[in-house]
Amino acid sequence: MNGLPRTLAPLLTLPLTLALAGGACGGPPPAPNRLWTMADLQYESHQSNCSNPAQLGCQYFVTPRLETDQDVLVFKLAFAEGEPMGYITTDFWANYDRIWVQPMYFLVTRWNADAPRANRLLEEDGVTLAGPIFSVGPDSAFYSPFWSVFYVEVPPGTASGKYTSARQLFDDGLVMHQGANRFASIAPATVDLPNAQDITQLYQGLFKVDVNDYLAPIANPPSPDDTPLARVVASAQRLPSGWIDGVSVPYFDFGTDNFAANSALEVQDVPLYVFTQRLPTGVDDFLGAPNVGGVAAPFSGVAARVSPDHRPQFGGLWRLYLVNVPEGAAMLDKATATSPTTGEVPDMLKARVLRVALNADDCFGPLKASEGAMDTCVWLDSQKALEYNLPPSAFTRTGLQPACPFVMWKRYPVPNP
Amino acid sequence: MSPARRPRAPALACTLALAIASGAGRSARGQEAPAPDPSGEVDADNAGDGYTPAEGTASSSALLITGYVDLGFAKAQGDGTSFPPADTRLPADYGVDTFATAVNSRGDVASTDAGGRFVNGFLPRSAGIGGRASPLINTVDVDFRYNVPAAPLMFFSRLQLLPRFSAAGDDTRALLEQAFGRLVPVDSQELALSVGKFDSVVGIEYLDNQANIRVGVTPSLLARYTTGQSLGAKLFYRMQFPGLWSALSLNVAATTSGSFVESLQPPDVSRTGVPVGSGRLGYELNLPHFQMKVGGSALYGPRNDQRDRQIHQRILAGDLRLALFGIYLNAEYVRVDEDQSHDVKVTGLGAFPIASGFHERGFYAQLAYGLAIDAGPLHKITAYGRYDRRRARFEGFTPLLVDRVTVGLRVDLWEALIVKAEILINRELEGSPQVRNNVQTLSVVHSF
Repeated sequence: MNGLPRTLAPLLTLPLTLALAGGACGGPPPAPNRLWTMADLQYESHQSNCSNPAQLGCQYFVTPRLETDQDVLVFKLAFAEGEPMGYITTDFWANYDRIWVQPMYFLVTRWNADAPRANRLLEEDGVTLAGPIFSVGPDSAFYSPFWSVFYVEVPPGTASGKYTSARQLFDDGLVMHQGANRFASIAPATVDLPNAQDITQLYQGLFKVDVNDYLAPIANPPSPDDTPLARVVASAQRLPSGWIDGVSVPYFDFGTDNFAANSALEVQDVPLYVFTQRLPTGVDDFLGAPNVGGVAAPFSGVAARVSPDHRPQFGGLWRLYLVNVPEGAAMLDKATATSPTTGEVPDMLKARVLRVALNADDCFGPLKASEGAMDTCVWLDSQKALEYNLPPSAFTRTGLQPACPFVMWKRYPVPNP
Repeated sequence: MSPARRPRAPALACTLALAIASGAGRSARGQEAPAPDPSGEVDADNAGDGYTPAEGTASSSALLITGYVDLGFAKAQGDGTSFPPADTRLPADYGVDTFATAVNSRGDVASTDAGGRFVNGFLPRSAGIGGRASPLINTVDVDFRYNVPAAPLMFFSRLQLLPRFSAAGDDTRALLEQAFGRLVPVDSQELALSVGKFDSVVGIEYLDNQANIRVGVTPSLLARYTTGQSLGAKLFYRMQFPGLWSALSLNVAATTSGSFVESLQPPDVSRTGVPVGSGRLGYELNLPHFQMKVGGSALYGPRNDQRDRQIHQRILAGDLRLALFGIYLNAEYVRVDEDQSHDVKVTGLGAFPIASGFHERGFYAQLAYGLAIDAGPLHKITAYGRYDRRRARFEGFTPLLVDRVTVGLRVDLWEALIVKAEILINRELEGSPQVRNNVQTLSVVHSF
């Protein structure tokens, strides 16, 4: 897991092993299924002895923001297709064999097939958009933040509070039009999205790196606060109210088409690779390096589907795969990359820090001596690199599936249309 | 919900006719001790096992074979399901009452085809007719009873053939619905110990499970929770109070699955290793022209559709039966609570991903009036009506409130043939889109 201290690894090993063994023929019974919604992850963050997925640290997904009453979702830096990417975990499933898309309804006063959201119903103030209507809430084991969107035509002038449940829409026989799938996670009122400062502090503490080094710089920023990271965190929006069965709920919106579902409305996951390594004691342990995001089914060779505006059409739902790297592989940490003469990480190495090299024992020396100019490392920073350089036996599929929509893809913020 | 039941159709038909017409079934015997009838059968109030033989009775033959054939004809509105075409919530069976379109006494519905949408096992068995009118062979029932000579011991088994057709082709099943041995250790006492697979002891509707017993055609909306068979042991005891024209009865059981029907919880093995306890305490007042039976039931134990023994199911039920001047009122309240499990769910219909928490509150009341007629083959005409109301929710899912009005007519011909016609008007009151799912159904039952 991204940023996981190695001291936590033993805690993780056992449950992961159990989860995996459950799927084996003739093995013990399947491990119990469980869904952690955002509210569950927040709850666990306040416990001293929590039950986070895979017994991860209690504040691995949600952390308290100092001096406020708000808790904050945790931004994760990772790599995909050889470039940095970033995501936020909102919900987590263990040992679900399927996760489904559920319907969600937006009210429009006139249908426009070319711009479905153009005529959204407004609140009485004439400005605020009327909240969507969710069909299944987070108390259900079948809740998911993956929504099949329907635009529902209501007469102009309809009071915004008239329709607050799916049944009301059906009972009135309103016309519906299916739209693009959407990722929206229903959130407790006391959970917020991370801001640039939250992320900067976290990564300074964990890895002593500046996340801005992994982002494309902004030419002529209008203000010092307009950092690349600030633009990244704007990729997600906290919206005040949607409706579930007449009850108003806040939610985080991560935009459209960031996951795929099949004809049975089952969300399709892509692999998220977590590095492990065999210790001299013979026990597999976590490497503690950022994860690597896949782009398609393992060993499928399918290319990533990304829209022209840098918006990946996958990644909403991941499945964790353990990747056991051989002795000799290691993550390039900041201390290793720092020049003894300047005390700084050379510019050419800044974006290499936190990546895992298969041949670290051989390549880190020349890399450091040349300040990045002589790069003979085999970087394991993409699905392709992992599958090309490691045997299939190095990969272990788990029953763990986090919902982690992208907020950054290949150094750029992911737009939220 | 007749006041008296017999395993053999001639006896049954006769008893029903007399009971409904006059309000004087055998259960109205007042202070009399329970005397076996000539066929060795008992009435099927809660004092007994339902449609099962008497305890410790001697039959002219040690082995007796009886049964019935139930032919049907049914037509449901729409596509035969309650699934609204435009409602894409999943699981599809959590947002509607899939049991609404019942077509026969087993509670089989016209269809459970969700149109490819995912379902999570809250389903009845299906007759597979969809929205088309179709004849059906609902049940071919054969009962075997063996009374051990010179011993207060009896063995009973009920084998049923259920011809069905589904979209996948032939779906016919042979079902061993009951198989148990019963010991009546003391002749002078109404005390019986049964071991094997037998009817529920919760509530009263299980007494009407069989088509040749039930006044109408279809079970209530609550039958799914209280009318299943299960495997285990059962103890019955009834004490008569002749001076008060009254009796108290106690029926307790420890079984694998409790009282849910097999399409919701598998009865044939214990999946947790812990039995489900259930029982009913009943009081009956048997005056010459007025009978009243009231009872309270409870069930507690692990859900048998999953394997975690800490995950429980609980049922509380109350029942009332009144008979007065040929008018019969049967009413029942049933409350169900099931904990959520993190195990997969397995029912009689297969394996499903999630064993959700579930809560239900509901009741039904049925009124019947029978008119005895002696006109050749026509023995009796019975008109009946029933109102069912059920509020239920799966944890985190929209609560669902539905009701149903059932009206029907039953004609008893000779002593072995029953013709029943029924209309079910189903309504979705809250939580689910309204759908066209009313049913018209006909049942012709011949007993042998």
